[in-house]
Amino acid sequence: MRYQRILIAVLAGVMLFGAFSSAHAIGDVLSQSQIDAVQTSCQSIHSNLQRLQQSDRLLRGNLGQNYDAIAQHLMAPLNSRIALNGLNGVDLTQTTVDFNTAFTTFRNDYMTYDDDLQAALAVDCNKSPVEQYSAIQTAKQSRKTVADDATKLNNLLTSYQSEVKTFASTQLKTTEPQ
Amino acid sequence: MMDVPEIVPEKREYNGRFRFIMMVSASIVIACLLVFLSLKLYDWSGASQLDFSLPSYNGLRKDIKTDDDVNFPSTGAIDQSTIDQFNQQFSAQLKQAKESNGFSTKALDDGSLGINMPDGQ
Repeated sequence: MRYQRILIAVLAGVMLFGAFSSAHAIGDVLSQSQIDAVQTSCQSIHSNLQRLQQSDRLLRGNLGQNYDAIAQHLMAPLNSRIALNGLNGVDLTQTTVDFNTAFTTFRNDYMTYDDDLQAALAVDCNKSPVEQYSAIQTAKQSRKTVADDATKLNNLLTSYQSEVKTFASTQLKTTEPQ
Repeated sequence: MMDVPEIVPEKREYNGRFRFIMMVSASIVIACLLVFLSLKLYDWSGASQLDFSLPSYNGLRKDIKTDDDVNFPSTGAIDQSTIDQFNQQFSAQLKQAKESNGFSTKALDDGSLGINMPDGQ
């Protein structure tokens, strides 16, 4: 019981240190003139962040619908059709599973990014310019993760497309004479 | 013979009224809890981020794409023409997805946000 309390206290301390140190680290890097620059651009930062959040949500909506259509209306029906015809579509099924896993990651990472962007919007940059700049840098990192996720999804789709070509050239040739 | 306690009419009326008030209060509390839970789910699931019915999305709503024309039958024989038909739809969707990936970090650069950082810093 006593060790548990010590462990909880240490964990809480580490979390607090982490939260403060990130803003502090940026504060150490930013010079006074840079802090002034952030403060003078306050209104422009806020409106740009707001516009970006709206356009990103639209982008996420359209991209998500696009991926969903590919997974639900194209990949899944082709896989089941291959299985119903008694053909070997293991590679295609595996890529579909990988795609669905990557899609879930993309969804979660986008939620994190949107939360980070919202956190940056919530900071009053007149009062705390360093905190806002730090929040923007965090959102930038999250945005990079989302971009990487989308690239991974596109790569998986390209792999699936080439696997379909391989499937057609190997499996269909062997079954056609029957 | 058992003694049955006699309930005074006023007390019976009081009990009935108390129960009714308790029922109404409990219903209100349960309704509030369910509303709170559903709003939390709306937020946690990420649906709130993609809810384009909000008034702030009036101007953007026309840009929302639909996938009504994407359809590939899950039954039937498979031959080269089936694969060609699939590839045609798949390529169109993949092209769209590649074009839509606009999550570059440039959008959050200092210049893009309108921050004029002093030169050389």
